[in-house]
Order: sequence, then C-alpha cells, then structure tokens
Amino acid sequence: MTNRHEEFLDLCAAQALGALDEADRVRFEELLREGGESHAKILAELTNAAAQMAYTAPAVAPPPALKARVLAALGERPAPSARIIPLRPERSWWPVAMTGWAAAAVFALLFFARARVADDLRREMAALEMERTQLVGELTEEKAWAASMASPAARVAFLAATPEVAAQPNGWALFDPDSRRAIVVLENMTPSAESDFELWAIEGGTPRSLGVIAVDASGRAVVRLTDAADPSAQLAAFAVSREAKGGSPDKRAPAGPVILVGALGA
Amino acid sequence: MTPPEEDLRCLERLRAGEKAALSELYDRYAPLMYGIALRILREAAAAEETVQDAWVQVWKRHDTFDPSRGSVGAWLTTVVRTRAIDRWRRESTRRRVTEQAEPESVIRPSDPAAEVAASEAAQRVRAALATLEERQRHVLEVAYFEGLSQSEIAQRLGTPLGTVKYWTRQGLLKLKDLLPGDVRP
Repeated sequence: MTNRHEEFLDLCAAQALGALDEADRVRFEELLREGGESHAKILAELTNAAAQMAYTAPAVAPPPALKARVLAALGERPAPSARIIPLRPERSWWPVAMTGWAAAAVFALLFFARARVADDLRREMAALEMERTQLVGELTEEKAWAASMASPAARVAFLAATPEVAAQPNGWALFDPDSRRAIVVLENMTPSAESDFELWAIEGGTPRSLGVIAVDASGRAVVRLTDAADPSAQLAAFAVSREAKGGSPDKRAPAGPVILVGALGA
Repeated sequence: MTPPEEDLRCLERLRAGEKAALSELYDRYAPLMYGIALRILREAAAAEETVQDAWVQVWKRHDTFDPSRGSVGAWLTTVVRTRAIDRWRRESTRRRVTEQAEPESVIRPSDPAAEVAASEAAQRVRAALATLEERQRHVLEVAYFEGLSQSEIAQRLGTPLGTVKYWTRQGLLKLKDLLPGDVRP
C-alpha cells in the first residue's frame, strides 16, 4: 500500500466520520478527485461503515406526536435548494390579535344561528383559523431570520465585480453558520431577456448552485436562504454567474462567466 | 426490490412532493434517528426537536443526497447526527453550568419500554465493534457521538495526531469488512 493511498484512507476515514480537520479538507478533496471512481467507492463504503456506528445507540421509538409535528412542519412541497424569498414588510402582532378576536366573535354568533347559517359560520371560522395559523407561522419565521442575522457568529462577504463585466454590479452577503441561514443583497445587476443570474456557494473550493436569482427592474435582488451551506462542508464564499435562461445545466459548475465573488470573513 | 432500492424509490417520490414517501422513510428510520439524538443530547425534548428539524431538512434539501457517497440510511443518520452535534456544541456553555449544579442528571428516555428491541442489524454492529481494539473503538465512538475532529481527539487523549488517524483508519476499515451492508433498521 503506497503512502499516498494510506494518506487517502486516513483522510477518507476521518471524512466518513465527520472528523476531518479543516486543514486537511483541501487535500482530501484533491485525493478524492485524483482517485476517481475507486476513491469515490471507498468513501461510500467507509461512510456506510461509519453510519453504522448509529446502532451503538439504542433505537428508541419517538413519541407518536412527533410524526404529526414533522408532517405539519413540512409545508406543501419540498423547496428547491435555494429558496428565494423577497423581503416582506414587517408584520406586527395586530393582524394575529385581530384575527383571534374575530374568531371569538364568530363563535358567539354560532350559538344563536339557525342550522343553515351555523354551517356557513363554521366554514368561515375554519378559514379564519387557517389564516391565523399561517400568520403565526410567518411571524415565527421572521423572528428566526432576525435571530440569525443578529447572531455574533454571523459572517459577512462583500461581493465585488470581476473583470468580466463592464458595469459595476456589487453586493454583500451575511451568513450565520449556526442556523445556516444567509441573506444575499445584489445591486446594479443588469437583467436580460436572454440570460439569468445564478447564485453559487463555494465550499472547499467546489461550487454548488443555490439557484437562479430574480432581479427587479431596478437591478436589485434580495435572496434569503434557509439552508445556505451543506452541513458537511465549509462555506467559504458566494459567487454570481450569468447563465443561459434557467441557469447552468451543471449545478456543480457555472457554465457562464462569474461576475461577482466575495469571500466570507473569518 | 432490494431494501436500498426501496429507500431510493422512496426518495424519488419524496422529491416529487409526496409526503407519504417521507412518512414511509420516517417509520423506517425515526427510532434509529431518535436514538442517535438522545445518545448525543441526553434530553428527550431536545432530541425530539432535533429529529423534527432533521426531517424538515430532508424534505427541503433532498437534493443534497449523493448516492455515490453512501446509502439513504447513512444520509439520514448523518443529517440527524450533524444537527444533534451542532446543538450540543451551541448549548455547551449552558450545559456546563447545569451539570455543575446537578451532576447526577444524566437523562434517560422517559419510557424504557419505548426502546425498540435491538434489531438483527444492531446486534451485528455491536458484535463487530466488540472485535475492535479498545482504542480503535473509543476513537470511533468519540468521533461519531461527540463530533470531535481528529486533532481534538488527539488533544483530549494526549496522543499524537498520526496515531489517532491510524486507529481511526484501522477501526473503520475493519468495521467496513465486517459490515458490508448499509444502514437499514
């Protein structure tokens, strides 16, 4: 067994266990690429072996209510890897409070209504309850965003134009490694009918698409990412490329020119 | 259809938006995932939240699963383990204060009867681990359940980093040879 192969096995075993030191990551990725399919196979086998360490913890049936909470938390469809959400105006508690009072008033009316009217009122109450639940959910989400962006662990990247562009697009990004949330703000972007801008996370020197960016008429875009970084990778920078409509065909590499890039501060 | 193919088929359906597919995977893997979270966090409420967050991540970030890097089962246990370790680290300061005040408060699952009878796979893994040298088994357990990097393990054990790497490599290679299958309850 060559020293190089032993070195790969050492790093691969650490990676499979999630114990790889950051100082070794670049070397590991390099050796993984060099070894092609055979090294990828070894990594898969060691990852499966490491994952079986899970069995040393006794399996415990979770409370039945947990499954219901999980399914309720999912929403309607799985979101794409970059969930692009425009910033909304701040909401206050008043709509939630007013909705709660409205539901109480409707319930009192039910007591005295005739059967046909009672059915109509029951349907209306159900709709108001759904709206209240949605508003509470949105408020919770906004609070989570505020907490992430105020986190002392949050890091900032300033995106500067590359020599590829004549105009001067620019931007900045804020990433909270604890919650893995990020906000990316871009300005002076020149939208085009023939192309799209695509956002990228640079992890260990490897790009990963975060999705196509929607730019408004003023050339501004605000992107909120609920899960900006792969848990097993170290997010180092953000970048923006100009791609054909729909984005790069390969979500692991830009096809078009990279027009903005910014490294995250320490 | 073989078990790994069943899981892959479930994941395809999940990617198409089928909650029933996630429900199937949940029924299959939730006890294992909850057990991991409990082992790391040692608190039922925190373990429940972590498992919930893990499944939401599976639902939203299904595209991060790479079949070339392991099975669906391995991916699911990695997701919950990573979240549990992250939470453990974030709460480490508060936990140090609490443990000083209540040194005996090691948390157990509230209902011992809820422990799922050890599956054949679990028995096989524990038997395989028992064949490893104690130091190999120890570094694997510390890495897996405490999320320490190899240099952190070396520092804790007062052992050279190269030695920790060697024990890790030898232990995991032996485990791989003894357990050629993938993670599946």
